[in-house]
Parts: sequence; C-alpha cells; structure tokens
Amino acid sequence: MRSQEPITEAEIPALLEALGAPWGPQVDLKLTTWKKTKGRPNADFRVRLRWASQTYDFVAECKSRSTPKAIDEALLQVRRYSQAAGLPPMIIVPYLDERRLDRLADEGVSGIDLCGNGIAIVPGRLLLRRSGQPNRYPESQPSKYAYRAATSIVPRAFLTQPRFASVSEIQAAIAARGGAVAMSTVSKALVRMVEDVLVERADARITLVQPAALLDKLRENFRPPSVRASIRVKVTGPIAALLKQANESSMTPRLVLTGTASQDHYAAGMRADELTAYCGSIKDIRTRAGSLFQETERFADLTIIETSDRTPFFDARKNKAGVTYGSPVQAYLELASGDKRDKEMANDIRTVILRETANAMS
Amino acid sequence: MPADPLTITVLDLDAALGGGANLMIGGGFGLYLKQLHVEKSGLKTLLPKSKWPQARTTQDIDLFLRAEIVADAAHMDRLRQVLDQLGFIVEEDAKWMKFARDVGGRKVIIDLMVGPLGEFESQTERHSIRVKPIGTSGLHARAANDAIGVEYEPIRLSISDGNRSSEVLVPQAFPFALMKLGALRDRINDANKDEGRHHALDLYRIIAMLTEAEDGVAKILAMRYSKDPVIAAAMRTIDELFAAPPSLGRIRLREHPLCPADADQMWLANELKRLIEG
Repeated sequence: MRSQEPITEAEIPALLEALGAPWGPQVDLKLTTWKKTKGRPNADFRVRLRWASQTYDFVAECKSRSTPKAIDEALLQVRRYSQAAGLPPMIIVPYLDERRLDRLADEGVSGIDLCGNGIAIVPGRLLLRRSGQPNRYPESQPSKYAYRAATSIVPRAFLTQPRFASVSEIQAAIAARGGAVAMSTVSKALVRMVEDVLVERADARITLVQPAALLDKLRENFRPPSVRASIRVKVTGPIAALLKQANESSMTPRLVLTGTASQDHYAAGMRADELTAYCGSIKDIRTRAGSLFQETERFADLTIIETSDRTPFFDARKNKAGVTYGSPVQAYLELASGDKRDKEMANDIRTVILRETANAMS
Repeated sequence: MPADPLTITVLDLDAALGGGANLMIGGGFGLYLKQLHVEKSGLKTLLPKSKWPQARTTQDIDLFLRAEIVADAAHMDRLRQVLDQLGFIVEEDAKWMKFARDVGGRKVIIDLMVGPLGEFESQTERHSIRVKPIGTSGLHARAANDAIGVEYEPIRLSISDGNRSSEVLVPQAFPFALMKLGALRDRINDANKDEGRHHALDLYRIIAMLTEAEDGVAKILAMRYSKDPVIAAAMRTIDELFAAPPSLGRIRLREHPLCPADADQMWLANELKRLIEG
C-alpha cells in the first residue's frame, strides 16, 4: 500500500504506464498530455485505447483524490471537454470501487484508477469493465474517521439540525445536546462531509443535502462503544427512578439506555431482552444510586456498561418519567448491526429519523 | 395458524377426561410449552430471550401421572378407556406405557410416566421400569426415578387450538433438570448421538429460561431432597459431563445444530450445580 501522501496529477501517466490497462495485456492504453488551446476548455489527457485492430480515443480529466466530490467535479469538467473535443469522456482517479464504477456506468462515462480497476464505454461499440482490485490509495485517517467514534457526533448533529450558519454554531448545537467536540474536529468532519457531497457550504450556510446517505455512512462506519467495565444490577423499584437519580442536576446524562434498549421509545414492537445502559463511570453511578440497586450476576434488571465513548450520550432523550433514552440515531446504528429482527426495527427507526430531518429542513 | 397435533391431542384428552384434568406434560413438548409461556409472560430469566436456543417440539407427549393416580386402579382404568375412545393404539414395543394415534397425518405418541411413588409405593406393582396399580394390567406408567419433586408446584399454563383451550401443568426446572441429567447420562454413549444432543440442549434451555420463582422453588426442593441419592448422582453427572473440557456433555451440546454459538459451558455447569445443590 502506498503511503498516506496524496499523489499529484503529474505522477499519474507514469503510474498508469507501470500498471498497464486494467483489462489485460490484449488492451493497450496510452496517455498523452492534452494539447492546450487558448480560449477553449482544456482537459488533462488524451487516452488512446487499442484493442486488436480497434482504436478508441477519449478525453480525460484527472483528479488526485477519489472522494464523491472530486468525482462530481471531474464528471462536470470532462463532459464539457467531451462536448468541445467530440471525444467520449473519461476520468482518472486513484481508486474506483464497485459503487463508483456503477455510477460511471450509469452516467456513460469511462474511468480508470491507479489500482487496476476501470470501465471503458463507447456507446454501441465498446464496454469493458474490471473491478475488485483493492485500494492502494486510502484516504488519510482523520477523513476516514469522520463518521466513527467521537467525531461522528458532528454528522449526527446534522440529522437533528440540518442547517447551520457557522462552524461555531455546529459546536454550540452539539454542546446543547450533551456532546463535546473540539472546533478542529468539527472542521475536519465538515471537510469530509463536503467532499462526500453530504453537506454543502455556500454563502455562510452549511446545509445537509443527503440525509439518507449520511445515515448510510454512519451505519457503514459504526462500531459499538468500547466497554471499559460492566456490572449487572437488580434495581429496587422502577428503573426510571434509578435513571432519574443518576442524571439529577446534570445537563449531560450520566446514565443513558443503549440504543438497542431504547428501541421501543422510537418504534413499535418490544425487544424483550434485559435492559442495558451506558455510563462514564460506574463508581459515580454507584455513589449516586445508593440503595437503588444491588449488584448481582443472576436475574439482573439492568446491565451498566462503563465507556469512555461519548457518542451514546449525545442527543439522549428524556421522557416524563425520567427515563433517559439513547438518541434515535444511536438506536438505529446499534439495531442495524444486529440480527434480522433488529434490522427490521432499525429500518422503522430510520424512517422516523429521516422524517424528523425532513421536517427540520422544511 | 392451525394448532399442532400434540396440542390437539392434549386438548382432546383433557376434554375426554371431563375438562380441568390438570394434565402434566414433561419432556420436549413440556419444555416447548414452557418456553412459549415464559416468552409471552415477559418473566425475567437467567439468560435474556435472545440467547435461548430456538424452541423445538417433538413427536411424543410425556404425560406425567401423579403417583396417587398410578396407585388407583379405577383411575387408571378410566384413563385407559379414554385413550381407547380417542383412537389410541398401544405401541407394541412399549406395551401399556406408550399409546399412539394419527392426528392430521402425523403419528402422536403418548408416553405415560410417573415420578417417585413415595407413600403410594405399596399400592403399586413394579417390574423394572413399569409401574401399575395392584391388580390391573391395562395401563402402565414408566417410572422416572430421577424426577424427584415433579409434583411440587408445577407451572400452570394455557394451551389452545383456536377454538378450545385448557390449562396444563409443566414441571419445575429442578425436576426437569434432574430428569434430563439422568437421560443424558443414560444416552451419552449411544451409537446414535441425537438423543444425547437433545438432552444436552434441553439442559441448556432449562437453565437459560430459569425464572426467579423457579429458582426459589429449586432451593426448597434442593433442601428437601439433599440426602436423596438422585441428587448425588446428578452432581456426579454434571462433574463428569460438563465441568471440564473435553467432556461428552459439552461435546453433545456443541454438536446440536440449535446450540447458540455463545453458549458458555462452564456457566451451564455452575448453574446446574447451583440449581441442584440449592
């Protein structure tokens, strides 16, 4: 795997030459720099594809990144060049996975990457497709983790409030819902979300544009909170009383039901398992609960998990009885990684989240 | 959904006995009924429901007769008449203990059983595993010697076929576990390992869905029968078959296709001991 340093467009011809055509040695691929013409849109390369006696020329736009935003831009530009040059369009990026190749196929644009994947389309004459080669140019870590762990609070905030005027407003909105994220983390997550065309930044407005795709990203990258310690307890009296006492006089919850245990707050049906809750410190909860619970290994009412992960506490919802539920997004993410029945419940909650987001957008 | 042939048979039998017969169902069908009952009731159990093995039913009904009934010739004659009326035919390989009939194209077998006879011992005749009232021969019960406490506070639950319903009884976890431990011990070296696998999984199921109330009853029964040799034998069986790998009970449990992937064998051994020892 190549180092995390991004490649430059100047490196691309040499890299492609070393790699050869994605479709095997029968196909020859040659890149030449596009001859610049003043006053006309200028592409990066002319790509000549030779297969036996057939030759096909393409006009190609190259990008040094493979993010949805980079691909969007490349497509926009290359269509213009294609129209001007009268040649079929092609894009060149570091990596094309199945989803991106499908998109190119749908849009009728050819594409090759620097990992051995590619699609060549000349309508009615040629269709070559090669996929499955691993990514040799993964994105850098901070971008990769925008949808995971503590940083994921930023994308989650957009599902509760889809429009912001500034980065500091996002940070304040997160704090108001019990989260805490550094300004630099908000900015990094935002850059990634813009690159992934999930959020748009324009004229001092930061707007969520693809809520469903954002939920998908969160689901794909979800990892359950790490467990530092856990205890099982028998609660004296209603569990609501314990949650109420544990969370008393605090803006941010100290004890919150897991997403899975919060399912019935957001969707019909009961997941009859033993209740589980997250806390930041079991010692603290023990002190606050006093005689409200006894630790036991058998016939417990509640399992309390201590975690350093703050995501389960973000956007927790309290009902009138004082029960603090995990957010709908947390419920969706935990259930979506469960069994068939959990996944069905997750879909119901997904509908609720998207409906709430749509309402907030309108 | 139409009721299964076993439920239909129990309802037929209860109705033919005049209703309210308090039939006690053991074996795989008893456990199946108990699992559905506990699932529906929302009772707190030792393991959450998501960790229980999938409910499975069987082909036969282990019908436990109370010792006082097995000792009463008139009662046993009446029961035999009812079985005849319902079209049951005696099974040749287990004469007068097993009866079978066809329900909707499926063969249903009733296996008549009785727990320890206690004070009624003297009013019965016993030949090996067969028990019958003195002076009659039309109906026998198979002696389930391990089933100590089987008549103590059985669990009452409802069954229905959509049109009819009835209450039946299911033994507590304590006698159920003793019976299953005995059965597993007897079948552990069978060439056909399926019986052993079923018994091992049933033991896991009994412990997984143990309720707090049953746990309390088990403590009473464990104290009451602490000197009974059945208890000592059961504890030996747990040690031999579950306490340490690679014992055969653990292997049989793992071999069962319905065994949960995260089944904890050490936990099972400890909980079985706790149940039996009190």
